[in-house]
Order: sequence, then structure tokens, then C-alpha cells
Amino acid sequence: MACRVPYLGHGVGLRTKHYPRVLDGTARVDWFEAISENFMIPGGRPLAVLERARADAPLVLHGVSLSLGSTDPLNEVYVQELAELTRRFEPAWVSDHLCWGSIDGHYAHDLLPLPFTEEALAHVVARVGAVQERLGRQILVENVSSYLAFAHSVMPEWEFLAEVAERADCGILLDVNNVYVSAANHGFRAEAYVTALPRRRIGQIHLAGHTDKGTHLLDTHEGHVSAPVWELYRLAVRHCGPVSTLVEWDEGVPEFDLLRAEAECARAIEAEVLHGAHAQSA
Amino acid sequence: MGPMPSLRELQMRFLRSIADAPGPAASDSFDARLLELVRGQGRLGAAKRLDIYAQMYWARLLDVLREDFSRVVVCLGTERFTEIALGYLAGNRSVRPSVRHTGACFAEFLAGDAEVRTWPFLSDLARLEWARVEVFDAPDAEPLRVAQLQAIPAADWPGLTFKLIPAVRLLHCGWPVHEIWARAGDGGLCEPMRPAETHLRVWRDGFTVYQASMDAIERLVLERIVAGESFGAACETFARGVTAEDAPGEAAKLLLRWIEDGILESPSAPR
Repeated sequence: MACRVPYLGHGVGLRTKHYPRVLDGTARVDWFEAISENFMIPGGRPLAVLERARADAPLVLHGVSLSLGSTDPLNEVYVQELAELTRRFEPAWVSDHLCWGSIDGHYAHDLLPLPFTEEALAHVVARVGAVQERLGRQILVENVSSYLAFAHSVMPEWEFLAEVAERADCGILLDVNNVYVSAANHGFRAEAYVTALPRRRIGQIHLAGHTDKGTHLLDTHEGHVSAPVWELYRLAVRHCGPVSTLVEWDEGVPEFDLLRAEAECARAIEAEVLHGAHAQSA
Repeated sequence: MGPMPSLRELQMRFLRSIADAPGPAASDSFDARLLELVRGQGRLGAAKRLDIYAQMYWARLLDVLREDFSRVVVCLGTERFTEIALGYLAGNRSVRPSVRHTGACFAEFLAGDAEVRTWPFLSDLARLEWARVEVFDAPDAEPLRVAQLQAIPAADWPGLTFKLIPAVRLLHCGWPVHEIWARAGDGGLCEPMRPAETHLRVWRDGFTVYQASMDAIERLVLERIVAGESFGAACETFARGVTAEDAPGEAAKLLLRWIEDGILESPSAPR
């Protein structure tokens, strides 16, 4: 089985600062990724922007609050709102994270780490299956940056993610920056993570900047993609072939053209890896 | 090390640890059993690793409040605002998947907190800022246009009923917070002001949020319209403030102002 999503090229995350460019039609890019929760609202400018973005380019919905790993029941209201948003905007795919973010009805608004145990695996697989059934489509699940790991984990994260994808028949959103950040924070080899994932399950790649806090790397989505993350992206492209790639930039959001230039860097690297220098200049 | 906790128990211990106490005190309340389960390695021990999540938890929610209540921040200063906001967040946990609801009870908190009552206008200012947040993404509606009204014979106007668009909020404040809001927005300090009964309407026209103070007549007419009275009945209010011959003209002016502001939906059929 595989991840059944189209190849969209190189896109950017839809952010408030760029709304005027979207509305006047000058935010030209292969595709947009919108944070689902930002558009689970009754009306106003954000939804108008999303309508315009969707009219101009393919769109993907990326959530942060599905809380796939939480042991609370799925939030039915949230899933219903996500289903409605999906019906209205017909995104190319829907994604969320391999994490939990709420317990006992209390939302942390963060992507909290799971222990990589058989219990957690079975739980996440069931939840992904339930969400896919409710949405009537395959979803993509993204690896998160993490700052702690649990001693009772029985498998590495990449094995856990691959198992979730296989057992739940979902896709993988491979965040290359998150792999790099977590590898630095936990002391594993980022390359081993990337190459261990089943290539046919990877439907999307995320790129972003991070911040070195001295004792650890923090996934801030700030600044340019770092050189080692670009290197890891090369490896990911060699491993997977062409995969829709998106640049996230959430802190100190730059002008749209600079953000788009970052996406163009990804395009150039992909071309170089897949077709060599000739294709890059063609 | 005892038996491994269930996934649920681990999650309960985790969120309790990072969300029970804000700021530097957070690490004091970390769950000892949880810390046993966290791998400490390299330059970061288990507590420091958990503390990264605790710091992010509070910082993220504080950011939301700072953005939604930016004028309250100006009035209080960042440091004092942070102290107060942390107190609010500690007692008002987020129970919705979206952070946009974080500040829903902040004005109420400011009204009830003994320390904050030394700034008596802050709760009203926060209510104004929250009303602006609410109308920003309230449901869309097609506003009534002048041409639509002109198409209705003037004789039928008194029988018309109007509905406000969903993106309108009416506020009754004890302070002229619209003036404080404007001054704070210009970067000016919030000087002590005299309390004054103030009625505001806050609305969205297109993508822009506006606010305006209302005099007694406008407020009364609008309240009667919101209550479902016909325009004619609501305009009986004018009898209190203007001469009988001026009343129709004043009523028409009010109606046109609301239409220009885009706060009315299309009228129902004349009764």
C-alpha cells in the first residue's frame, strides 16, 4: 500500500502577513498549506483569503489539534469541523501530527511526545483509522520535534511512525527539520531516521528553520532552512523521489517573495538530486 | 522503577506537570514518577527537558493573550500584564482545540481580581478588545444597502424590522474605553480618566473592525430594533429627545448611518 496523494511541487504555509498578497492574486506559488484550526471559524477575512488561495492554487489542510495520540475520546466537534472544512475547500490532502496535545479535556496547544510503546502504537493506529473513516480519506501524519524521550519506549520513533503508516494505511508527512532537531536533542542519526521510513508512504515533506538554544535545538520555524537540514532534504529526495515539499516560517515571517525563494531553493535541490545539474539549468 | 504507567496515566502526569504552575515555579511541580520515565542525556537532564515543554506551554498562551489584549498590555506594561495573565491562565485552562478562545473570560477575570481592581477600567477595555476579536471572524452576512431601502416605499418604512449582521457587538461600559483604546493604540500611556457611562457598538464591515460610541437615542433605538420591534415602534424613542417634526428626519439619518456602516441585514417583509 502507499500514500495516495498527488505531487504538487513546492509550496509555502499560508500566513496572516501574506493575506494581502493572496487577496490581490500576487502570492503565486505551487500550492498552499493552511493551518486547519485557523479556518474553523464562522466567517471574516481568513475564510475569504482561504477561498482565494484555493481558487489560485492547490490547497492542503494541516492541523495541530487533532491530538491523535491523546487517550481522551476524539473531539467529535473538532472532527466534524474538520470534515466540513474539508468538504468546503477540497484540499489535496489533510494532515496532522504524531503526538498528543490534550488530556482530560485540557488542551496544551502543543505537540507533546508519545512513548513509543505497543500500547501507544495500537492507540494511534486506531485513532488514525477512525479519523480517516470520518473524513472519508487517507490522512498524512507528521513526525514532531521533541525535547524528551521516554525510557520505556520499545522502538525508535522512525519504526513507530512507519508502523503507524502501515497498520493504519495512512501517509507520512516527513518534517526534515523536525528529524534534524530531534536527532540533535536525542543523539540519534537523522540520516538513519529518514532512510528507515517506507518511501511509498511519504506524501509530503516539511522544511523550516530552527533555533540553537545552546543546550538543545528548538523548532521555532524561524529563519532560513539551515544547511544541514538542506543536506537532509537532499537525502530525503534521493530516498523518496519527488515529494510535495513545503516551507514553514512562523516567527519573524518574511515578505512573501523571500518565503517563495526558500521554496524555490527546495525546487532547485530536488531537481539537482533527481536530474543532475543539467535539469536544474534547463 | 515501578510498573510502567498506562499511556493515559503518563499523559495526565505530563500535562499536570507542565500546566500546574507557571514560570520558574513550573519545575517545582514536576511529577517525580514522570521524571523517572524521561531519559536525561547529554547536557539536559529529565527535569530540564520537561521544563522546555512547560515554558512553551505558558509562553504560547501568553502570546495569544498579548495579541488579543494589546491595549490592556499597553496600559499595564508587559511585566504586570504577564503576572496577571499567568494568574488568569492558571485558573482558566483551555478546553477547546483552537487557541482563539483563550481570552474568552479574561475581561471577567479582570473585573473580579482584587489586585486588578486598582485599574477599574481594564475590564471594560478588555471587553472592548474581546468584542473586536469576536466580530473579526463572526459569520459573514450581506448588509443592507441604501438602494435596497430606496426600493421600499417610504410609507412602508415604519413597518420594517431590521436585524443586525452577526458581526456586531453592543457594549455598555462604565468608562470611555474607546478613548482609552485609541490612546493606547497611539502608544500613549493610560492616564487616569473619569468614569463615564459609555455605550459602544463594535462591528465588522468587509474585513475591517470598527467601533463607535452611541448617544442615548441611538442606543435606545438600536436596542429596540435588536429586540425585534419595527423601525416605527423603535423610533418612538425619538419623542423623548427631539420635536415631533424633527423625529422622522433624525430617524432617517440614524438608519442611513447604520446602512453606511454596514451593520444591518436586509429587512424582513413589511408587516
